[in-house]
Amino acid sequence: MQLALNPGMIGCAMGETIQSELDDIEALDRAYRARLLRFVAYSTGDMDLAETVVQDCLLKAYNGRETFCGECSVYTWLAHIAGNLVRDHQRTRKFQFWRKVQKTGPDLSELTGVLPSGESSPEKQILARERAQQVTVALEVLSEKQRSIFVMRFVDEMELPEICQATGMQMSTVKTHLHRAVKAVRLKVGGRA
Amino acid sequence: MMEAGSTREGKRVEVHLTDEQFTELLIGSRPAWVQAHLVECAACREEAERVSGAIGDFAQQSLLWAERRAAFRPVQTTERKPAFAWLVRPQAWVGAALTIALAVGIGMTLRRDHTQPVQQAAATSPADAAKTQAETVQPVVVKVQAEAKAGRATLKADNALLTAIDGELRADESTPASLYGLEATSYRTGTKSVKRTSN
Repeated sequence: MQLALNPGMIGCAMGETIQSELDDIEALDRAYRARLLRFVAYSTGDMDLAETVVQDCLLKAYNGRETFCGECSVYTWLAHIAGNLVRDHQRTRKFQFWRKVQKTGPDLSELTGVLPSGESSPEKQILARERAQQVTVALEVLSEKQRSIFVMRFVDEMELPEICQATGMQMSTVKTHLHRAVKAVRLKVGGRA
Repeated sequence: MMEAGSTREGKRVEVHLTDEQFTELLIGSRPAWVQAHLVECAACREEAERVSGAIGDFAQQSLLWAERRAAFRPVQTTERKPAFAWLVRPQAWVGAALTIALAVGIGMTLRRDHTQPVQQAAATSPADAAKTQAETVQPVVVKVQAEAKAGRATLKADNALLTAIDGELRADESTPASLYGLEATSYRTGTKSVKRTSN
């Protein structure tokens, strides 16, 4: 967290658009809460932790908005903060051995009534849901880092350099995690991996 | 990965994309030879479409799910609350005052309920207690005494009646003493003195 809010980490080329976006916490919430929630929820597999982390992340970003200088996108910055918060929470929980941890992961079956109909037929919607469920199951066997990087790349559509910025990892490390994640998903979806 | 596949023209393809190449393909890195391979290899092309389609479905549905979940969350407050922010709220003070008043009221009520009988007992003096007791008991005693007096009078009258009857009965009987001219003169007194009667 200290790293994320350190002004020295990010160059000072702050744009007015970014500044005004960070100055309005409601706009920040509207723009990024859902994406952050998805990122943290699927990275950790813990819905309660995800909501807590997203809440803290938005608040910390707002309070530390002066330290953001626009070297990366706002979402990359937020993802970096969220990643650090997840590590902090998990480090705290690791010592709370008396707590019965019951993870409540995201449940795609909740989306039964809100799937985008578009032009697709009900059969296609059911098929799409099944494929998404397969990906979800495949992600469950991955490590947290692999899941995070997979979600950043394929769900949030972040570029590899952005992922490196958000995670603080080397490009080769990111690619290795990504490769393992893709292999697991490919195997689950029915590929030849 | 050296599996056989077929091209659109029906030619067999001996080499497919490796795992790393497949990952590069999904990431978006598409060298020319990969593009050419996908054109020729139906199996790799189909697999790439299937996996990327599944990931796309996952991304779309997870975003819908997250938007739905986020819609139920309240918007953040703009400032961080201090640790004892509740102290500056007037509602907190009013609530605390009401709570204290309620607690004191309940305590006083309970205390009064507990001490009232004791205080009442302590407030009465022995003279008052005796007076109260006498006032309460006197009518009962008078009544009992009257009943006892009436009972004794009745008993006395009954005894007198029975004695008279007994005397009359004894007077009618012929006793051995009367046969010999003897007459009990002091029967009631029990002196057993016998007086000879003259025949």
